[in-house]
Amino acid sequence: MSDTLNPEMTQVPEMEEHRDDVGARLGFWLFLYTEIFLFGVMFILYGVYRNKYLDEFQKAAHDLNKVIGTTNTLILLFSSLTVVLAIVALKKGDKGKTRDLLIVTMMCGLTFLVIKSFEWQAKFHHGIHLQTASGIAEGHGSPLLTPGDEMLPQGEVLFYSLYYIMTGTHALHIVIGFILILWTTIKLERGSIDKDNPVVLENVGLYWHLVDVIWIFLFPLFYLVS
Amino acid sequence: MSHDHDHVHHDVGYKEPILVFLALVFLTILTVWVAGRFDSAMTSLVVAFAIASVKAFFVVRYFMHLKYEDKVFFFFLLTALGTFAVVFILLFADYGYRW
Repeated sequence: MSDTLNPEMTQVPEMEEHRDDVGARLGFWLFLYTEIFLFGVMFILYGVYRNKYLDEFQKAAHDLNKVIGTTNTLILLFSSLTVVLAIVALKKGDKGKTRDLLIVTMMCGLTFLVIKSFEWQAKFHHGIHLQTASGIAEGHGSPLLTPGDEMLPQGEVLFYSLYYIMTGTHALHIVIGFILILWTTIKLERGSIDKDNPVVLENVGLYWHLVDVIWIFLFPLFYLVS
Repeated sequence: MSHDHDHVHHDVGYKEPILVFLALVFLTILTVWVAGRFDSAMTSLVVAFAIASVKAFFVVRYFMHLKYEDKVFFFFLLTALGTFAVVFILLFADYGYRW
C-alpha cells in the first residue's frame, strides 16, 4: 500500500513508440492519387476543347516558348534527382550532404517559379490576362482581355484559360512542395529526421516527384502540340 | 527505437538515381526533337504522351521507389490509374457521340 505513495513505483513504464513506416508511405501514396485525379480531370477538359478547337489550340500553343518549357522540365527533373540523392545521403548517415541536396532542390523549385513568372508576365504584356467575372459581365466577351482590346477567338481563349489554370495550380503545388522541403530541412537540423527515421523525408520526396510527373505531362500538352 | 523491417533491403547508392536522371534527360530531348515531325496533330499528341509515360514510369519506379516497395503499393497504383482510365473512357465515349 505504501508503495503507491512512492514516486518511483507510480512511474508508468515507457511505451515503445509505435511506428509503421510502410503504412505512412502507403497512406501518402493514396493522397498522391487524389492529386492525380485533380490534374487528370483538367487534362480531360483540355482534351475535349482541343478536339473542338484544334486549329486555334495549335496557333496559341505556337506562342509558348519551347526553349523555356524544356529548361523548366530539365530543372524539375534535376530537382527530383537531388531529392532522391538527399534520401540516399540520409540513409548513409551523411546529414550535411542531405541538407545541401535539399537546399539545391528548393533552389531548383524557386528557379522554376521565377521562369514561370516571366512567361506569365510576357503573356500579360501581350494583353492576355486573367480577368475576373465582373470583366466578363461588363461585356468584354473574352475573359482574358482588358477593356478595349480586340477579342481573341474562342478557341484561343480556352487554350489560355486552361494554360493559366493548369500551370497555376501546378505552380501552387511547387510552392507547397518548397514549404514542405523547408520544413523537412528544419526537422533534419533538429534531429527529428535521421538515418533511422527517414519516412517524413521520403514522403515529402514523393510529393515532389508527383509535382515533377505532372509537369512531365503538362509540358508536351502546352508547349509541343503546335 | 523500433526498426522498419518491412522495407525490402537493398543497398542504397548514388549511381542508380543518376543513371535514371540521364535517361530522363535523353527522353526529354527526344520529346522535343520529335515534336512537330508528324503530319497529324493527333499522332503528335499520342507520341508526346507515350514518351511522357515512359518518363513517368522511370520516375515512379526508381525515384519514387516503387520497385523496392511491397507489391501492395503497385496494386494501389493500378487501382488508381484504372479508376482514372474508366473515367477517361466513359467521358470520351459520351463526348464522341455529341459534337
